[in-house]
Amino acid sequence: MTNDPKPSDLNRRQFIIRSTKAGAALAATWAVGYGLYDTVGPSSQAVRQTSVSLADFSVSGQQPRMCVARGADRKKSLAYALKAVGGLESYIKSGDRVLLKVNAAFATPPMLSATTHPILVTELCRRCFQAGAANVIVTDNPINDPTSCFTLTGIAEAARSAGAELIVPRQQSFRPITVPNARLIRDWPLLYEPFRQVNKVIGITPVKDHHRSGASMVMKNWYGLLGGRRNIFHQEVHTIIKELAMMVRPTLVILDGTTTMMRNGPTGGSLSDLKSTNTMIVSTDQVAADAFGATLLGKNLSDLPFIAQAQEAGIGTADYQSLNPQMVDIS
Amino acid sequence: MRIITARRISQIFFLLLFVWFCLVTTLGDRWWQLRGWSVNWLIELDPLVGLGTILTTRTLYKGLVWGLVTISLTLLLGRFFCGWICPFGTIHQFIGYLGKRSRSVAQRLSLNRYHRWQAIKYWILIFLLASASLDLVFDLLYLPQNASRVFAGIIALVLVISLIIVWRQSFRAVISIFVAAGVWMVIGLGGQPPSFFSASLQIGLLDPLPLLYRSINLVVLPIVGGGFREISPALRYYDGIGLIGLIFLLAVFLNLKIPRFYCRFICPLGALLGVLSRYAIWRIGKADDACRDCQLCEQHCDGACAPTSKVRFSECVLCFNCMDSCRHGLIGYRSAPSAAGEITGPDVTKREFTIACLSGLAAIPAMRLNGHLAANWIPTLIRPPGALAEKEFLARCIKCGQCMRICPTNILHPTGLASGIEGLWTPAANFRIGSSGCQLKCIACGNVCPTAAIRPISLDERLGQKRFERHGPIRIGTAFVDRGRCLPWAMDKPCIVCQENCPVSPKAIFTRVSFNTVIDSHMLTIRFAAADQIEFDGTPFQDWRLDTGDYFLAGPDTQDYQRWAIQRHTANRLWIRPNLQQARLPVSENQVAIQIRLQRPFVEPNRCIGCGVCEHECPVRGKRAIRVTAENESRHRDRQLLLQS
Amino acid sequence: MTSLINKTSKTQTLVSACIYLVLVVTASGILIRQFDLNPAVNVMRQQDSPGLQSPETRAFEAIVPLEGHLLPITPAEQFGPDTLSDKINGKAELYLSAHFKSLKTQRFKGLNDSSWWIEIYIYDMATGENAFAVYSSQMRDDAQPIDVGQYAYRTPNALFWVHGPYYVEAIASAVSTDAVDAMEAAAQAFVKKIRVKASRVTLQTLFPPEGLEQDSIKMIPADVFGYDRFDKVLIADYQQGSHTATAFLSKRANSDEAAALADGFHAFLLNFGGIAQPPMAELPHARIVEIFDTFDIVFKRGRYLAGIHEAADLDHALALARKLDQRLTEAGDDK
Repeated sequence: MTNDPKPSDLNRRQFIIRSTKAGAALAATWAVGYGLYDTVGPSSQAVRQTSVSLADFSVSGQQPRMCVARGADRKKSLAYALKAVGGLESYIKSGDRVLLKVNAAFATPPMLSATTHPILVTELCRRCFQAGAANVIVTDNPINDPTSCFTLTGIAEAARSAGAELIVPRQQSFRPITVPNARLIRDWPLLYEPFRQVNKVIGITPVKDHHRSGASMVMKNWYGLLGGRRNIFHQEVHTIIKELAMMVRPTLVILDGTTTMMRNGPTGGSLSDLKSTNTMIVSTDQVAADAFGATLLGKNLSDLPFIAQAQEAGIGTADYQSLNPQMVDIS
Repeated sequence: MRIITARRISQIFFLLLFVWFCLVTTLGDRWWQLRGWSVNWLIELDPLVGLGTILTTRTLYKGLVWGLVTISLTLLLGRFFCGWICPFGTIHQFIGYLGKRSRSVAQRLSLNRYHRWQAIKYWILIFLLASASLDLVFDLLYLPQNASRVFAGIIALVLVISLIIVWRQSFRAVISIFVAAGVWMVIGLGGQPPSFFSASLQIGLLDPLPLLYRSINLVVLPIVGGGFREISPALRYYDGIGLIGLIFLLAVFLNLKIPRFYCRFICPLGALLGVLSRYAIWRIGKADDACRDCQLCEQHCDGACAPTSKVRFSECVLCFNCMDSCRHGLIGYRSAPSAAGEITGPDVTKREFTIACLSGLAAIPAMRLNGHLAANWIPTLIRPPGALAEKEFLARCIKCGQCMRICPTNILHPTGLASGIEGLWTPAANFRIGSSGCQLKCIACGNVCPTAAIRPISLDERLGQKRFERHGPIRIGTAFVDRGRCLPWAMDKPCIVCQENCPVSPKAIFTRVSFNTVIDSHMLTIRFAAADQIEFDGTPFQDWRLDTGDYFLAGPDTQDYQRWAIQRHTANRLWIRPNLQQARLPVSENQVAIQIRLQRPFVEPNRCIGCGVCEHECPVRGKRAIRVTAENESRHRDRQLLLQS
Repeated sequence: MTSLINKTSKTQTLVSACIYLVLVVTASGILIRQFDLNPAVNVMRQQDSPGLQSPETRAFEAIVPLEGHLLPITPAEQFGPDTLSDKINGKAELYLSAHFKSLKTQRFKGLNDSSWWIEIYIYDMATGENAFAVYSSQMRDDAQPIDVGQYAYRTPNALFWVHGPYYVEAIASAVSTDAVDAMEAAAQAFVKKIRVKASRVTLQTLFPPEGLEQDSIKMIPADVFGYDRFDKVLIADYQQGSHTATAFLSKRANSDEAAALADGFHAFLLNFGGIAQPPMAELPHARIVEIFDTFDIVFKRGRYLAGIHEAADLDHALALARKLDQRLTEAGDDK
């Protein structure tokens, strides 16, 4: 053997190197092909995302409680009402991550009372942090353009000033959900991104008339968690409200009846649609809260079939008196 | 036995096979019909289809696995597919041969000289693959967000490598690595791509096999095969094939100018195979550099790969003409490199690569900003039953036209620019052309689609029966009555053609009866009335035909409209069928009118599957009075029209 | 040795041979593969291929033996009372009112590639009476009687026959003697193959033959003469000189029902402006009504309800009614 490579040796070496590379490419080709081989083809919904479900966010081991505070000042009413149901501290523990589901459905000013009042948002965020919350997220999937909704309703600024995080929905924020025993919410996009990070959920919304369902209150407020072509559900509005209540088991709900939109809901638009009813309802039972809210609208249960339906589904009680609600008068 | 004879026989074999496959793509079970003929086999052998769909869907669907065989052989042998199998290549080679025949040797040599622009096909390949790999690019880009641990691992690896490089004292490389990693981290942690940023499969535009299938099936066969009932029982039309035909003709006739023009300059499949042939074990080359330089070997060189000098093996289509032409036996298919040297890689610079790659990526937003995949979806685009949701559909459809060829009623057509550049030549239903609507019990299109852009559904799934009962039948759209054009709605003319033809059971079209006054009471003065006949002043019925059974004499409008069917009439006299249950005939002082009984069609959207039979049959032949649009089609949840109850 | 193939080397031949072998294998593979039918073809075959027999086709062939006559070109279709109108649309009413059970149809062509095709409709009407009802009520003008089954006639392009509870129509796509001949052969085979209780509607023999118009006997299944309770009535047209009349006859479940129906029909006629006439001595139990310048006579005899409808002349009508009554008396209730 000599160390001088002869041309044929060189060729042989090159040949071996090349063959090795070809062999490696061959192996890689078949490995990839084998790994990706698909004999079945795509399913009918080609990109079927994995379904999600929502946890029960209510605080276990507590009797359902409810308080109705009467007063014109939202901050004060909220404070009294929270105190009457045992203080926010009994619901929010240190380190909790809280989701506030506000109603920011329309790009209208706070004055029109079509959306959750920013003062209430700031105050609730502040109190959550006070109770030890590690993080507070404010979110909604509005009807109108999300960014202008959050800005014009003052909710964006309210959340920011209180140090809460605002999640504006994007296409990626949604994941399909199927609510057990539900007929309509099956494999439907849910605004899931905010839920990923929280362990407590508070719904906070004003009392409003609603053209289609009769009233938009706590249960209807969860509608803002749905994505997709949700207006199709208006064809069966009472069922969808019931199923929304089945979907979300909140820690607490806050129904703001300081100003009630009596007619032309849910958008309103004129101050003459509004009426000062000076009431703040805080409850652990969303059905009871709505049942009480109905009285502010001057409606009874037969006007609002979804309340009875929700009770039937075992979500709560329409008979709010049975909760012995504390009535607090602030003057 | 010469090897080029074997090559020619192989080429003829595959060309005939291809023609055979085109001919038998007719739904039926006779030996000259579809049966089980593997009509997609040549598409499946095309590894560009397999690779493209792998990039967009990360799966290799069924028969596309044949592409692996082509790749494997190419890795070992070079571009044998181009020279031995590809039917388009065979056509090019033959036409090119015709074009060369009358030319002098010198002219032939100059025609077959390597041209710098043969690199264009690589640019095209890179462009097409780049736009197909956008999802992969984004997944990589957003790795920091989606899989931060993997990303951290990669960064750690990068640091280690950097240290090694630093140790080897190449600081510039380190800096660029760090910059790249930094940019990656910033983008990856920062944003999210807009939803329209997803891969788009456009290889079908120029991939030779889809192109050839499309051209032959949709252009050549309807022209040539029109006279043969076995090929198509009725004359087949295809909307929007002008461009397809033009490109095909151009590709074929350019061979007269330069042989294998398409293969050398355009073909992205050739480019892919050229890249793959880099490590081929055997390649064409000279055994001895000291040849006489007669250059005769190049006069029939099909790939223009310069076998006399440094051979460009990525261009060589293994035609073996050079070996056959060499009078000195110097050229062979050898494991050793050519004695004159060789150039293995494609002639593409880094800069060209980058530009092609980036423009491929940038083409997607350019195509998608029209919003066709979002709110601005095209309602007139009726995809065949089983088609995937539009985005996934476009990630698979290679525009080969097999579905359009097989469609027994000839309703599937290549879309022109109606669905944007991206949807060019993808299948959509046109219910005006063809022999009927989309047949209720037909699943042909999905079962010939080579890439499952149209899923291979079963009849049970199509009809929503047995285990698919919960999903209901597959809807491809919904019919809407255009009341401004519909005869009974707009013109008081009786017509229930759409209702009669609706094939679903129970029918999705129903009618409601309505009586419309066509001759007003003030036009009619009764002269006398008998038991079953009634005469009027003047000649009010001169221009009418009232004896069709649709016309009624309507009683005084003060009463609750009594009606008597008109049996026959003259210009001023009516005979009516006495209706014993109803009041007696109107007497002379009563005001009566002539009414027509109309059955006006309505669509029940929960039952309508969008098959388009109604649209096809509608007697308003121009713009139909009942038309299907993509509303409520099953493949898109957000196009649902009604809640299912 | 670095060359696999060389112009001079023997390997050229060897490689060529290998390639030919590969081509042959490929061709065989493709040929074998084509026996494994595409699912779309399978579905299509089940739908409409005559070659592969679906259960329905076999069921059809069980009732229409086709050997040597016709070739099916579509699968058999079956319709019930709910779906009948999908096939024959508005005409369904006629069959439904005569207690229609089911319809099977299928298209055929002649054995030798023919320019015509035919469609055979087999209506299962449950009873021979019902079958006769639908048969008789749509007798064509150009009917040419033939001897198939109980009742049958042919027209230039079609064949109609009753066999037991089946009323069958065979209609060709063109006027063709070939087609009708083929249909007649098929009809004979059908009659031979399908055994039925021969239930000739014997009631019609009770009509007096004098003045009876040829082929005018019809069975009307329901709503006879517009009277909604009046069903399953045989009618026959009579002519004597310029006088025309229609005789009718129906066998009821029992004598009481016949009597009640006679009363009902009488009342119905009066209700529509008929004028009751005094009973005549020749036929004392018959009631006579004059309506729209014609005469109606109705009477019962045992379980039979009979009468004359729209007779132009009362004497003619009475004479006819008497003859009819006499024949009914002779026949007794068992016929």
